[in-house]
Amino acid sequence: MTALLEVHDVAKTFGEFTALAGVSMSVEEGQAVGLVGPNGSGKTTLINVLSGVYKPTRGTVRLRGRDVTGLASHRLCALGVNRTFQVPRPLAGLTVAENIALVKAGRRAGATADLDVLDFVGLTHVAARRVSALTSGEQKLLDLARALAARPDVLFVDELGAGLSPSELDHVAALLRALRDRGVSLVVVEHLMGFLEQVVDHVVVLNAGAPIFEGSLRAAVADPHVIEVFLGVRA
Amino acid sequence: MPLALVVAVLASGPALYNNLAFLTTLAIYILLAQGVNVVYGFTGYLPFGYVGFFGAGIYGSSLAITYWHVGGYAAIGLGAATSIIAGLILSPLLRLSGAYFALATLAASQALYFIVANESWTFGESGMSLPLLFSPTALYAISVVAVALTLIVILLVRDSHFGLSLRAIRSDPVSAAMAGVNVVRTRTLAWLLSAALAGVAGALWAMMTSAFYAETPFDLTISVYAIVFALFGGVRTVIGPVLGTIVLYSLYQYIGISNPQYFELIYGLLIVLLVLFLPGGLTSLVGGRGDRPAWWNWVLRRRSAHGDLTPEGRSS
Repeated sequence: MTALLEVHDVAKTFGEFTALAGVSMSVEEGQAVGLVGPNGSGKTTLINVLSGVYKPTRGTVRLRGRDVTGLASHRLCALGVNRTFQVPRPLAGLTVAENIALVKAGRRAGATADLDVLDFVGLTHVAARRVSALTSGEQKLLDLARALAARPDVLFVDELGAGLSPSELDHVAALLRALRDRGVSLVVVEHLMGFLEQVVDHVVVLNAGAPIFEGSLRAAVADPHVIEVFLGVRA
Repeated sequence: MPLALVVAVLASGPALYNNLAFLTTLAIYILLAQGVNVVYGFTGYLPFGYVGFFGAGIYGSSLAITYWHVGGYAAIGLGAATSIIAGLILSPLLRLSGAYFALATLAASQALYFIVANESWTFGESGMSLPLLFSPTALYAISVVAVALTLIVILLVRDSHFGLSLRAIRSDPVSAAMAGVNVVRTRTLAWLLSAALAGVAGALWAMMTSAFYAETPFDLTISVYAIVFALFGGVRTVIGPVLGTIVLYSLYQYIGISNPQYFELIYGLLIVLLVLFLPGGLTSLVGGRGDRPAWWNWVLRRRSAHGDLTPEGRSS
């Protein structure tokens, strides 16, 4: 069986700076993968490449075996790839409902086709409000709802937990688990290990733009190389 | 509904003020202000060289009339087509942003001016001279119809998924793309629609003026007026650019022609006041698009600055 998403030797350089040195990883149908690593390890760059914000300098990305390397975001959106943004980027000049109405997903099937996305994330009561009137936590939820409205098969979740209160974190973790259980594949970038272990069963650890570990979260936190990278000491 | 009112007022214009040249020019400026509305209001690109599309429409229609002896309606269509072609040629400029885009369109419009002013096939030296295809009354009637159709188009754009996509792109192109919006195509369509409006306006102007040199159609003042009229009334609304044009162009007619120096002074003051107190334009006074009126925001800010009231809601 081929994986839903196959990333092969993807590299991205900005001038002299190598943000991704060649990352290979794969995501199976319905799998939730954590993407962890210290700041600057290339997690967000990888998501930017995989969601069409950047074109990779090298490497290939396949979605269900089809080459989607370097496709623009709107094409990937139509093919079932979507993301949230680390700093949420809901469309500030629009109302909450307009943010969702913008996404034309009528033709796509997908695991979340029957989902009322605003109801799912709990924002129905602010649907008529402008985005600028939302709290930052609500903006993060709207970013997630906007991504879900496109009925993605694979969803990149970039630090959705950062800056949320403990109760909001539990809410978001429950949402992501519900998505995983519906069969949406997730790639979750997160620093909060407690949050991550509620959602993912598998992690990829990046350091300096390259993967240094792939396996279960439990094994990752016991891995001497991973510990060295995170804590700067030899275990 | 206000749009029907606008058209009714324009249609009864000659009964109120019998100066067809003024009224037709007013209608032409409404078209230009709406063109600015589409490209700046909906996409955030400020087209300083917008007059280039106006000039392209003027010369496209005039040359078609001169060489091919086309009728007036065909000339309007060909004027729009010329501007759309100019828009297609210039569409790579949409890769630029902010001031670079504004300056690049300015340069492009001036390049077009120098071509038109120096070539013999464009009558650069002798000046353009057109036969009279419509009586002034008929031309004004056509201009009012053009304004009415334009308002309907803008209304459709505003309330369509296309309009929503444009607003989304203006807000954040990366996020809009992730919502499935084809950013390049959507922007280009808005740009071409805006060019077509200027082309129609240009054809109308050519037939109204009938004899002119290239200096007048490519005068940068036309860009500035169209932009200021649109902003003064309020972009991203249908009615704003119409109101802005009617108020400011009437003001220009009232004092600008007899006392241009006072007009420039009042005009400058108005722009300063606009930027300081009414960035959303006239329509924001009544709280268009479901917003709180801009002046009320201002009152809230003043009062909260004195510490006796906190603005409700969060800052935007």
